[in-house]
Amino acid sequence: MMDYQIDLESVPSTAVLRGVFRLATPEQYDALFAPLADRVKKSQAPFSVDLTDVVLMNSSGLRALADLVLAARRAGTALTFLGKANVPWQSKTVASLKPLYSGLSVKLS
Amino acid sequence: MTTRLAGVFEEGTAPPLTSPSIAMPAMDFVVQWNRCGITADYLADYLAYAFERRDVARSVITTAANELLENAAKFSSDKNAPVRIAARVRGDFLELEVENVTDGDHVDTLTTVLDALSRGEAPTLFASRIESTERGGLGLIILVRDYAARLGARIVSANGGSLDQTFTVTVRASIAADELEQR
Repeated sequence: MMDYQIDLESVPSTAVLRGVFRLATPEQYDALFAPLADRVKKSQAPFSVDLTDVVLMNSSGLRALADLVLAARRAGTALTFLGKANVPWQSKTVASLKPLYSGLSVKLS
Repeated sequence: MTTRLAGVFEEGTAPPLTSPSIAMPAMDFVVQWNRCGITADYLADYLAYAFERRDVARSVITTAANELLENAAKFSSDKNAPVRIAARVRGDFLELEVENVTDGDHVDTLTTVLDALSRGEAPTLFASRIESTERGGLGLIILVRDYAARLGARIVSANGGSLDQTFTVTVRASIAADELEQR
C-alpha cells in the first residue's frame, strides 16, 4: 500500500499531493518530485502544489519542497503552495519558505 | 568511559505523568523505513491524550519523534544495537529522548549543530542549509526553529582511544505544551 500519492492530472496546473510523505532519502524525493520540478523548469505558467490532504511530511520532504521553490525561482515560474492553517508543519515550515522567492505564494485555509 | 553534553541537555524536575519507551534494533528501521513513522505515530497517539488540542499535539509529537528516530536509524554505526525512544510528559513540557550507538564523525557533526542551535542560530542554519547543495540535517533545525524545542545530547564514549571508537548518544528534545498545542 502506498502511503502517498501525487496527482498531476485531476486539477489543471496543479499537483495534488495526498497521504504521508516520509521517504528515507533526498534522492527518493528527487525521483518522486521530478515531474513537478520538470514542470516549473519548462513552463513559466503559474503552478500550484496542493498539500491540503498531506497529513505529515518529514524534513527530507520539506527540503524537496524548498528545492522546488528554488527551481521555480531560477525559472521565474510563479508557484503556489496550498495547505491548512491548523496543520503545524504547514503553517510553520511550509509558510516559512516564502522569503526564498517573491514568486511563491503560500495559501493556508 | 567519558561523558559530555552538547546543546541544551536539560531534564525537568516535575514527576512525569506518563513515560512510555520503546526499543528495537537499528536494523529494523533500516530494512523497513516506515517503522520510524509507525513508532512515532504510536507514541504520538499514546501521548496526545495528555493534551487538550489532541490532533494538533499529535501532529507535532509525531513530527518530532519521527525526525529523532530517522536520525538515529541513519546514523547508527552498529545496526544490531538498539535504538531506544522514551517520552515523558513532565509539567508543561514533553521530553522526547532517542538513544543510539554511532561513530565519531556523526558525534562531531551533531555536537556542532546542537551547540549552534543552543546559541540561537536556528534561523541562520535553516536558511544556509536550504540554499546549500549539501542536503540533510534539516530535521533538528526545524524542531528548534519552528517548535521552540530545547535540544541537547549526552554523549558517552564506550571504548575511549581506539580507532573504531563508538559512542552512545542520547538526543533529548523538550517541547513546551503551548508549542505542542500551537496556542
